[in-house]
Order: sequence, then structure tokens, then C-alpha cells
Amino acid sequence: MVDDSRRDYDALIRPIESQMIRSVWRITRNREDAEEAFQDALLAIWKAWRHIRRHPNPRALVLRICINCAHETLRQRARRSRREELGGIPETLADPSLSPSQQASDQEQHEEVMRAIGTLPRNQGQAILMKVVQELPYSDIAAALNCRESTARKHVARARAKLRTLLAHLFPSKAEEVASL
Amino acid sequence: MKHEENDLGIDRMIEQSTTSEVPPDVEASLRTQLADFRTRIEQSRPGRIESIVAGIRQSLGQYRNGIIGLAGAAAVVAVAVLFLNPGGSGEVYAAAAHRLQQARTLSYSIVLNSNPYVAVDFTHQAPGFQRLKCSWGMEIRADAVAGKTLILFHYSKQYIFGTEAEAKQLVRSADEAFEQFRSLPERADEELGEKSEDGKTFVGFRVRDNDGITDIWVDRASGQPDHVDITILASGKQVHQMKIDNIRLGEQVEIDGMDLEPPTDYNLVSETADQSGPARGGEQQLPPIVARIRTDPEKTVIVLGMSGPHEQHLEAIARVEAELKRLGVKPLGEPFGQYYNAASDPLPIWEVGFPVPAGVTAQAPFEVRHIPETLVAEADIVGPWGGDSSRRWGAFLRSVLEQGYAPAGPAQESWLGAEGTGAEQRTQMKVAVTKAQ
Repeated sequence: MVDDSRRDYDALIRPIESQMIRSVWRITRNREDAEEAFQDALLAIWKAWRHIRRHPNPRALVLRICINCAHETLRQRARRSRREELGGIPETLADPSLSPSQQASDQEQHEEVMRAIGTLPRNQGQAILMKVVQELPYSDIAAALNCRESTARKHVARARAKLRTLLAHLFPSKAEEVASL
Repeated sequence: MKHEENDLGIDRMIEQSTTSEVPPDVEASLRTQLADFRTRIEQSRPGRIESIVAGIRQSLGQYRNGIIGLAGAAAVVAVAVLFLNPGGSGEVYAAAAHRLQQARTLSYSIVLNSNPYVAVDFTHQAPGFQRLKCSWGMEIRADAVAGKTLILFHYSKQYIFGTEAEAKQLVRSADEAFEQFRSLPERADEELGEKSEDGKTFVGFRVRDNDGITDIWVDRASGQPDHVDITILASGKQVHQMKIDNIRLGEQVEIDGMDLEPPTDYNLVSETADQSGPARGGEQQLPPIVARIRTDPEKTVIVLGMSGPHEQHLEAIARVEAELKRLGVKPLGEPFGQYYNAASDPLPIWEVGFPVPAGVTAQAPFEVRHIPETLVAEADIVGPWGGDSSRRWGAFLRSVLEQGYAPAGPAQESWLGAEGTGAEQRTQMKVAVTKAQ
């Protein structure tokens, strides 16, 4: 029994351990949230372990669970900040390689992008994160979301469309682009 | 072309805003979690029933978490049992599974063993809301969106609010269960054929697991899962029987039942208050109530089921006494009342009865019932019968929980002493309990 379980773990989880950690961190970028989301993810994986072992794409499913839990943390954060209107944004860790002004802008952008993703419907949010953060192909996203590949594409496309609207102000205008040349 | 550019722009923005190296201390912390997880995987595989028992044990460690956890775990296991493992090979099963997958709301009742009587009525309203109504007069409403949990004690007309984390945990469990709809395997372990009950035909599917047997019965006509019988095994022996019925899928859930504002006539339970709870309007403070835990021996009782106002008590007891007289049976003890909901419910459901010798038989509306040996909590209140039962029940249930036990049956009261001699009267409160740890 232990040997079987070890083999399962080594086959399914070990090769993607770093990817799991990175996924959760890149979305939460906050130690407390990352730890909470990761714990939730591991609990969900443990509960669904039998199902994961039988799943046609177990690694995609595990990564989806990680994304799901991190995304859920984002959604909670988005709701919290909506409720509190101000001061509800958790402190994030800045990238030390950037200058203070870059750090501030980097943090702001991260917060804003993640908050926008946090407002997306669950499947769309997960799909866009799997696509961009985990760089999974549509076939894996579809397997993880248990839907057709075309549906997975639709989730991503709709997420992009909504994000285009929500984050329009972060895109440089044509005039700014020309000026920067 | 423009869209493609925009798509790339969005992707690049997400990428940029998520590109960040994992700090070493965070990585170390998450890897520690992974190591623990691996040990957990290697040491045990989660069983459905193991999960609930673990959940109950874990959650009853603390008063507030305990009451949430117990009911929450009960609901979660029921959902899990329903959806984690059911298999099915026929079209009937496939149709039922599809309905489950599409459901936006789900309600059902769980009855654990017939005696002691435990029932939890569970309602899940996607997204993010759920409600649990327990047979022992407790109700939990959780809203993950607002991050609030409201716990109502109907017997004592009290309430407390749970934390945001508790709301999140409760609702996430239900949400996860919904996610599990997708995990239905292709085949059941066994097909049980058909059975007919109450004019309906049901098709059964059996799923076996290390810790139990689950029989799922689907209504042949409607294609709806109708009820689920679960036998919980330990070392190959049956330890519990659980039934999930009254399954309602996709029905409109009444909004009032999800309201997170407590009723105006309910009082907040103070966590530091003495056990007697708040006294109202010049009432005297009750002395502290400490529940005694003991094993009630098996017995036979005759009962008369009642509904409506509790003011009918004297009349109901007189009817049972008259029936006993007619049968020529002498009761073996004092009369008792048993309550399946609160007096304030629109239709209170309760019964009164007497212990009687084994072998007594009765005709409807009277019922003779055999009660096996049962672990109970009880406490006596000296003084005239009646009074504010909600206050004493609040204090009593709190004492039960604080001792590491959970109510596992309806509230029961016996009235000792003689009519008209208030000073010598005593009210005995009793409830079946299960040990938390």
C-alpha cells in the first residue's frame, strides 16, 4: 500500500512540484495567501486522490486544483477589497530586483490584474490562468476543466475579452507608444 | 488582427504581473507542506467515512468550530457519498448523473441510524451559500461571498456568528462536492435491479468502498436520484446506517432561509457568559448547568405523536394515561416529552410518552417503541415545571459540547414530582449524544 502510494506520488506529483508552487505563488504573491491556497490545494488533492489517479490527465487536474485554490484566494481578496473599498488590499512582496518606483508600479499592476481576474467567472479565471501562468495547451486545460477543447478556448477568449475592458486603462495609448519611440 | 494583438497584450500583461521568483522562505514553507502531504498519501488513503469521522473529531475540539464542524462534516460526507464514488452503467444512471452535474441548487436530508435520531437538512445554493438544519435544533447559514456564518440555536433562541474562515471552509466543502460531479466513474460495482415503494419504481446501483456500501436509488420515472442508503463498516462490521433522502435538485431555495440576520427575538450567545445564558426582562439567573453523561439502558416506551402548540401537553399526557389504563399497563416511570423542532416553529412536532414493560402493544395513534442502550447527556432542574426552557436548553447544550460530546438526537424532557407541588418538581433534560473524541 505504501509502495503503491509512493509510486503514485512520484509519478503524479513529484515532476510538477515546482510548477505547483510557482503557480500558486505567481497568482497570490503574498506569503500568507500562498500558504493558505497551497494548503487548500493539497487538501483538495488528497480528498480527490482516487479520482486523480484515474483521471486521463492527472497532472493537468492537479495543476488546475492549484490554480483553483489560488484563484479562489484572489476572488476572496477581490470581494474583501470591494467591501472595504480601501485598505483591503493585502500587502504583497515586491520583487527586490526592481527600483522602489518600479516595485510600486509592479505591485499596483499585479494587484489590478489579479483583482480583475478575481472577478471573472470561475472557469474563465482558471482557464486564462492555466493558459498564461502555467502555459498549458488547450487540450490540457480542457482535460482539467472536464470540457471540450473548443469550450476551453471559449473560456480563455471570454476571459481575455472581459480583461480587455477591465484593464483598458493599463494599456498605453497609441500616442504614448509613438512618444516612447 | 486587432484582437490577436490585444490578446497578446492581455497575455503579456498577466505574464508580467505574475512573473516573480518564489522567495526562498515561501518555497521552503510550501515544500514542507508537500512533504507532509506525501506522508499523508503514503500512510492512508482517504475514505469517505474516515473523512467525516476525522472531521468531527478535529472540529469538535473547540466549541464554536465544533458545532460548525459537526454539521458541516455531516453534510460534506453526505455530498461526498452521493457524488464522489457512485458508479453506474445504465442510461438511468447517466441521466441522474447529468442532472446532478447541472444542478445549481441541492437540498437533502441525512438520517444517521434510526435511533438515536440524527437528521441534517442540507441546502446548497450555488454560488457560495449553504444552510444546515440539524434535528437537535441548530441551524447554520454560511455565505462565502459575504464571508459570514450565522449559527442559530432554536431551542434556546440564541445565535452566534462564525468567522469568515469558517464560512469559507463550509461553503468550499460544498463547492468541492459540486466539483466532484465531474468525477463520476463509468461503472457501478453492482446493479441492484428495481424496487417499488409508495407507488414509485426505483433503480439501484451499489458502490463498495473500504469503509462502506453505498446504494443509490434513482426514480425510474423522473430520472432523479431519490435516496441513498449507506452502510458504514469498520473491520468488516456494520457500525452505522445512514440514509440520505428528500433529495431536491435545482429547486428554488427560499431566500429567507439564507438570511444572515438573526431573528429579532434571538439573543447573542456571549462567549464569556456564564452557562445560564442571558436572563431576560427581570428573570432570575439560572444556576450553572452541568450535563451528566451516562448510558441509558434499553427500554420500551409508548408514545403519542403530536403537532402544534406545546400547550397541549397536559391533554396529550392524559390521553396516553387513558390508553395505558385501557390496556391495563402500569407505566415504569414518569412521563416525558420529545421535541423534533422548536416550539416557535410554524408547526411544532413533538411527542409525549411513558416507559412501559417490554411486550406491550398499542394501536394508532399510539406507538410502542423499543429504545436500545443509548449514550445520553442529562441534567436536572429543580423547581416548578415549565419556565423558560429555551434558556436552560442553551446552557445544557453548551455544557454537552464543552465536555467533548455532540447532541445526536432530539431534545427530551421528563417531569418528576407531583402535580401542584411546585417546590418538589424537577425537570430532567436529556439528549442522546455521541463522543467527539
